[in-house]
Amino acid sequence: MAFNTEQTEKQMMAAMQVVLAKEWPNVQSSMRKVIEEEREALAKISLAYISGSITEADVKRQLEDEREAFEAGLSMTKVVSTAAKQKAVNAALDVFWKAVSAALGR
Amino acid sequence: MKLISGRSESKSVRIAVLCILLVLIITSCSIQLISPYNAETQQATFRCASLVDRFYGTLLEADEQNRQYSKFSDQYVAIESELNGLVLRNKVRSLNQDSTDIAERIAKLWQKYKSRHKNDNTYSTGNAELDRDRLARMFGYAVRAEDAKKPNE
Repeated sequence: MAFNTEQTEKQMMAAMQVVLAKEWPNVQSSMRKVIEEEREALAKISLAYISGSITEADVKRQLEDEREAFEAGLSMTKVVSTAAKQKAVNAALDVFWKAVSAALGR
Repeated sequence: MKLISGRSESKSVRIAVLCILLVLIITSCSIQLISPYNAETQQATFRCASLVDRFYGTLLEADEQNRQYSKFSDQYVAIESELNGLVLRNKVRSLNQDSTDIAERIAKLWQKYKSRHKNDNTYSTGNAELDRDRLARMFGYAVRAEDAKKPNE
């Protein structure tokens, strides 16, 4: 059986698109969640200051700590995005290897 | 004639075996961009999150006047040790830089809160509630990052 490059390429692209269509909403929702949670955290700090639960010095420190939390959130979105890319590339590779196997007559 | 036929047959069998081996090798190939999912790390993250949450629960139950550092130092040390273990667990895995970064930031904040409590010898309710929320959120990020590594998540 001959190896059809053009057809294999099309099938690889289609496999990648299927996986990305499934995974991309996860990446988007992860990013959205980090931003929403950060906004809520900043609102809580403001409320705590207004209500007198924390001092002005505490606010400064809390904001510094929020930076750490936000950076951690960005690291999480990087993991989700890299995992999605990996799944898409491997889906395409799977199609490729199946085409090679078929061409080898297996 | 029989000898030639036997040699030819043996060559065909060897080629067929080589083809099968080649297919077996290439079908097992996949690209690894990120560390594979690790259930033990996920469990360790849940355990740390639970310990930290229980710590703040106990602390917030006590009156602000009764939150001297000495009353909580044992818990601080135990949790710090668990967090350092979590950092190491992440660090030793290849292609795991971002999850390591999350664990390191959690451990860094924990050490910071411990030092501040030790210096001030008290922990205000306002700060404790905000710190508790923040750490819980960061543990959530660590869990979600590990979950994303599951093959068919």
